Amino acid sequence: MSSVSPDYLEKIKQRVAERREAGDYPPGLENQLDRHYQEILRGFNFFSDEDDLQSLLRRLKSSTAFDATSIETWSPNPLKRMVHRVIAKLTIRQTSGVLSQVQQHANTLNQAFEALILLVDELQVDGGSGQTEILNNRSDLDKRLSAALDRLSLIEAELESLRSK
Amino acid sequence: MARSIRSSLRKIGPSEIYAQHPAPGVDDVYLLDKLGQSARSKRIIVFHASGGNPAVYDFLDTCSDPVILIFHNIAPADLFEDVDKSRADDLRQGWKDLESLRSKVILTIADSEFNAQCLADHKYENIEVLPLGVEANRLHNLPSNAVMDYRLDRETNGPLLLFVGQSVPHKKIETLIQMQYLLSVHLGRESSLVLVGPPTISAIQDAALEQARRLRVPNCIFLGQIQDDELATLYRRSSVFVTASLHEGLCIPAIEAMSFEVPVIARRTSALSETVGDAGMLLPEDAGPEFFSEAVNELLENDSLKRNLIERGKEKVSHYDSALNNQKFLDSLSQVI
Repeated sequence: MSSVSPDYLEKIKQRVAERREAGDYPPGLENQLDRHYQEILRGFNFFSDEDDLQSLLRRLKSSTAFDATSIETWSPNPLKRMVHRVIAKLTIRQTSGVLSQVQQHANTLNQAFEALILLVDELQVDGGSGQTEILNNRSDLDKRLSAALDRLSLIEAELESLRSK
Repeated sequence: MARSIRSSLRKIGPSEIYAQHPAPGVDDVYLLDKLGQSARSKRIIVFHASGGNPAVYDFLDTCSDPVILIFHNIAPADLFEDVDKSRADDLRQGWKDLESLRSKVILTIADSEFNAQCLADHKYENIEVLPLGVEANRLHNLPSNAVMDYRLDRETNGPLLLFVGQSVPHKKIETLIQMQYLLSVHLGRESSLVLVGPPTISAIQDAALEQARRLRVPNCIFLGQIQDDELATLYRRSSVFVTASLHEGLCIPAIEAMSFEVPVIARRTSALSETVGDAGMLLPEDAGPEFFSEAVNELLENDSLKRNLIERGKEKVSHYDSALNNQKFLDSLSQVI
């Protein structure tokens, strides 16, 4: 067998250099692509949301797939193994019935949690900005009230001076 | 891998597999809790070390049984720091725990020279290099999956570029997305990139998928975790196996690709230098998407290079004879018990 020439590395390096020179690979292209990826990665915010409601919901969803095949019937003792498998087969109808009810319950729970979390998220967004708006409005009213009181005080002072004359 | 070792061990006595988190549907693996910290009869624990897992090390710490260590390496914690801090901490702790386990270990096996060197750096001695349980041809007898064939017929164009691995930071799957972008948009080469593997850190996969969407990279398919017959179908239809991984303790997918006569493109780093060696295109460790896309382009255009790599790959794969390696393991075991 002939040996594989390591020349291909030089050839590839040269071709990359040529393409860069020709403008097929604009300067800084790799850095830009990497930056682009890093920005997207940061956007996923996976690091801090370990315990947030959405990730808890995701974990809940991933753990609510019930299946009869996940129930262990294996045993190192062949006799016990056979007994387990026979029981599993004999009770498959009952097992499936229970699993189906549990699955239905889990699905409803998931939907309920999903709706609740959506509501909480909305409250966080709208409630937050709404509250800020209320605060801003109050602050605006306070200013107006202060200005009105100032004007009223001025009028009172003018009236007082007129009266004294 | 563990099943293959269990089969060998059962030739000399009873043997069972215990795991902290057995995959769903697996019915021949016990939960670690069932192993118990003490036993009436003499027993030996064969421990596969491949990451930081405090609960498993705590368990080993409380056991008085001797341990056979099979080391598959631990991913570099630094690359996880910004992505998953608790995992980064576990990985760092993994090295410390591995050092503290040393006094209980009666036989140390590393599945690559690179892994052996890593263990030696952590004060382990008399390390045997044995790619134990690696069955390079395990998928060969599986029939092709008709649905996968159908999907590939309709969803892909041009040569198929395949990656198999987890979505974790050091696999750098974004480099492959960017490579596919350059191949299609900048070089005008028609090809399809298929990424296979579990989204271990889902944000890594989600971000790569999002970048592919925003850059409008054509023919980029994320398949996630798939069945063995689907994987066999992909290997059969692939033109190139490509990985931009920065760290591998062995890289079984590269071995499987070579067994299916699929040439490999990888970085010259960690165990990839020995697993792939001159049977693949090994690019510099700092190679970026421009380098990768040119390498793919060269391999697709250069038939003699491709043939040569395939031949060398077949030769390389012949070293991974699981029956022979399992026998070597039993021989080594007989010397310590």
